[in-house]
Amino acid sequence: MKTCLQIRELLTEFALGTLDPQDVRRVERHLEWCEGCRKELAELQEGLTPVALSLKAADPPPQLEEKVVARILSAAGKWRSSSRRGVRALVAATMAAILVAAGALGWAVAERRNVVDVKAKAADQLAEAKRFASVLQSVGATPYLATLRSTSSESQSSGSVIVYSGANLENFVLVQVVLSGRQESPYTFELTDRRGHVLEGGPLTKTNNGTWLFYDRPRRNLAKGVTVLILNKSGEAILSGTLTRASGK
Amino acid sequence: MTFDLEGPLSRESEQELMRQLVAGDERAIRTVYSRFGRSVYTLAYRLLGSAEAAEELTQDVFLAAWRKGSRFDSTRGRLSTWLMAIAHNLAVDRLRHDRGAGRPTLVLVEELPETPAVDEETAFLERDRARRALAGLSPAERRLLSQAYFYGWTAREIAEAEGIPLGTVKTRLRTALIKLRTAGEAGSRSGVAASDRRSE
Repeated sequence: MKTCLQIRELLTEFALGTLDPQDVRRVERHLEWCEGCRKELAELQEGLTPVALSLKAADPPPQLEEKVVARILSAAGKWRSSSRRGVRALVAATMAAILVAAGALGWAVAERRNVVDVKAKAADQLAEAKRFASVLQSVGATPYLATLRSTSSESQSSGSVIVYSGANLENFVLVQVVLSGRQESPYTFELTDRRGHVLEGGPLTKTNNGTWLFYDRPRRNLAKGVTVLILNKSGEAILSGTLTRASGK
Repeated sequence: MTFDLEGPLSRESEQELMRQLVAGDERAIRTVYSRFGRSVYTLAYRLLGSAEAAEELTQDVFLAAWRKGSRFDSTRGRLSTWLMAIAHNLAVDRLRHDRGAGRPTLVLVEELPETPAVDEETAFLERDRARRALAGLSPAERRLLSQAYFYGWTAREIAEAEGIPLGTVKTRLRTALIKLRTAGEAGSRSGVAASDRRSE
């Protein structure tokens, strides 16, 4: 067993997080019973706080507060009864972030006009949809996701769809599409069940020169939705995808 | 008990705030987040180097604060210290886990500022105070702290890199932390006193 003197030799590095794991365990065991060394450690940690706080601030995303609240309330078994307002705010903030990002995305596509850029931005868009899905999962909801791929091997067009239909939140559908090449609008979104019955659909709206969106909060149940299609002016499917339950991170 | 969103909290208020947070009080959670969320996120972002990882880590830090909250003792240290220690520990653990290395290789986007920088954020009292405290260290002390806290170098590695004895590195690191603590304490006292005067 180490003495207080030996432990205090290690405390600075313990506070800095640079001690090797074996010594960390020794210090932790000692701290369990030694009030004097705990006090010494607290003082050293107090000295580290200005180091952490001096950094140039980075802005957390607006929806992070709601995620933190949802996670703690959820862990405390309280979120369902008290936080519907918070969950709505969370969904709204995340959605707003996606729509803003989509606007910026449109500009990037319009400015650069190259295929690689379209692919990269489409990947970003899908990552955004997945992050949104994880937000919904963090508050106990189960969203469905689809990646839309072009029906023609020559086209780089792609997109993502996120659908929620259930008891925890209002139902919603968010479709984001990046189209490459020149195709004539309007474009239409369709969600069908296994038998091909259309459950939801409507025209896509163009954002800043390049990105297309569809967003709706339908009252009807979309839980049976399976296939997603994006149709062109002639009613031909130019993109398609299958909804699957979003997996955990 | 309700809490202001700005201005320093007394130690009693910090204890009460954490008691309410542990009880799952939504207002207390929001208060703690609004006071410390940005600092925790900033540290996570600077250490982990990505917004996505920082977001995840920030959630983990507050969840850990809720889980361990009953162990928080305001007579031993400030809530900011306690939360930032949790954040640093979790970030170091994450880096160790991700890299599979014996010790973390921290990715620091930005070095410790050499002098108090003037930018759009200096209105934030705590950061301003932190920078003033850091300005009281010698450049060598700041460098050593940066190497250990942000880059995860052990005292031995710093000694080798700097060409100075191991004992000297340990002493300098310890001395730097004590100086910072003393400066922070003095600044905190004047901050609370100013806040008290405002609320009178």
